[in-house]
Amino acid sequence: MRPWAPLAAAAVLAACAQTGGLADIAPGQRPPPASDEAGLWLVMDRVEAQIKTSGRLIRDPALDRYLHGIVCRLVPRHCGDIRIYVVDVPAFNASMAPNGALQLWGGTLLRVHDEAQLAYVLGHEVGHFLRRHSLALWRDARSKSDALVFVQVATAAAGIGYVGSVAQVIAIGSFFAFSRDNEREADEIGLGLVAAAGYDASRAAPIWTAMMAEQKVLGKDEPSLFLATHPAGAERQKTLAALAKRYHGGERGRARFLAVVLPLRARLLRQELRKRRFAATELVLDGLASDGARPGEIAFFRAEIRRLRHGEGDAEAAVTLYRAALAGGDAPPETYRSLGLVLLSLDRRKAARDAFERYLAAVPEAEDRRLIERYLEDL
Amino acid sequence: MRLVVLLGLLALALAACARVVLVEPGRHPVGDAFTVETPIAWSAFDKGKFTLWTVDGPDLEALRIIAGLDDGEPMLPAPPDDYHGPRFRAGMTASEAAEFIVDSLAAGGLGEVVSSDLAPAPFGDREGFRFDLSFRTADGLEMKGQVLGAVVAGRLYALVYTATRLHYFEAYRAAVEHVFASVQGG
Repeated sequence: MRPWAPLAAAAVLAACAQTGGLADIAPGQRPPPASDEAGLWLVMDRVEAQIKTSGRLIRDPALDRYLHGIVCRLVPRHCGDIRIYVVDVPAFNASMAPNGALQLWGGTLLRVHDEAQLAYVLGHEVGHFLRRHSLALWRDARSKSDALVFVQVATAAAGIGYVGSVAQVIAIGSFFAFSRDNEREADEIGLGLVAAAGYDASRAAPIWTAMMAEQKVLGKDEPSLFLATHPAGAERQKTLAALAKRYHGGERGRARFLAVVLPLRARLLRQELRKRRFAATELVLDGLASDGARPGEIAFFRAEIRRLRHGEGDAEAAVTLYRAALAGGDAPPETYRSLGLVLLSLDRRKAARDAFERYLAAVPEAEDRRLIERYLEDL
Repeated sequence: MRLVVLLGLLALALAACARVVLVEPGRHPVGDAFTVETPIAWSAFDKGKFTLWTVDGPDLEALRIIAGLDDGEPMLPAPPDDYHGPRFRAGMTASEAAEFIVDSLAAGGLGEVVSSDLAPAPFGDREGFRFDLSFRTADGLEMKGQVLGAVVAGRLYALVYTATRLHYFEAYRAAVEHVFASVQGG
């Protein structure tokens, strides 16, 4: 943390305090048992209990420690108040429950490129937590006689409504659709925390630029949940860029970020491919390619897009990309298998045989060894 | 939609649209090309190319029969208009057909879907493939599975057995193996 950081952090938190009629949540604070806030926490405690055992969690202790470390750096006094759950959903999203359960979707880790950007995403959610936005939302809903709808959403999310599954918790994406003012406020708090913790605040705005580009290729048929619950992307991008001018310097923390996320990246990209949203995945790969890490792995997944899409000219393009991946030196060993399958589809039998043989040599214990050996018998 | 568990959706869709019938021990048709023989009785939900057999309920164990998926079709009995997930392709190799099945399950919302022991296997008198599955439901229940499939004349035929890792998978495995080995026709 930079020398001025403690003072700046204090200033940010002081600025947060007591606006909108609600005091900021204090470190370690739990709501009084008889309060409406306690009821809200009770529901979310049940949601959190379901998330803990969900089959959709990415269970990676190193990642969990890393993310928690970032939150502790952003808000040291609230370090013990916030739990982070990484959900294996291949899209950009994060949400914060009022009890401090922060849900981060795995696809986010492919769409931020350094620790400063990740810190912004987490800091934004921390902003909602500090400012108790969900309680404000709850009271606002109640005052507008929308409480029934709110309760239905909350209890459905908790698995105690008629929906009754953690799948819906994840599908909802965000427990609460905060207002535009809440989002702006969370951005301001989050960015302040990011800067105060010594990160480069200018890294936040480019996330929105990339998100809008991804939304454009996804089209109206498949709106991003993150954008659906976080409105006005262009406005947010401009606001963040303007806010970032208040701060100067700061680190990106790219090496630390890559040390934790790179080992997970192939798994996350495989999940992206399973959605078959090839244009969006190509954009994600463009972003990762500009980082420069593991170019062979990037080329492999670009080739996989073409193999799975199977459009005109895709097979030949895939072969070129698989070969580029192998030349890069950091392609996964299954590159040979995929190359063999594409060559087989092109009836380039000798080259296919060579690729399959190299695959089995590279992965002697391959789970599909017997099937590949069967292909070799015919080649 | 994309986050709803595919198996649950399949079960719901079948339950909502199809009549439950008793499948007695004996030989039964699988679409218009194959037959299988079961040594035990099942409750069956039938919807076109998708049939679900279960004894204790599809959340605990189920044998799903896919009878001749055509080029471009997804592994869903009633895909929504905005379906963007995996689709079968007629020219798929066994490797790619297995990948299609696994990706369809994962895209449907199952967690930690892992296939293993992918190998050639007879599908009646045709050459097919089989592999094992492990995954978790969205609610965290540990599941296991076995798949037997084949691409015949550009169409995908598959028997997909899934059950809870504890108790149910083993409870019906012998019966399922009998069904797998009994495929005739093609």
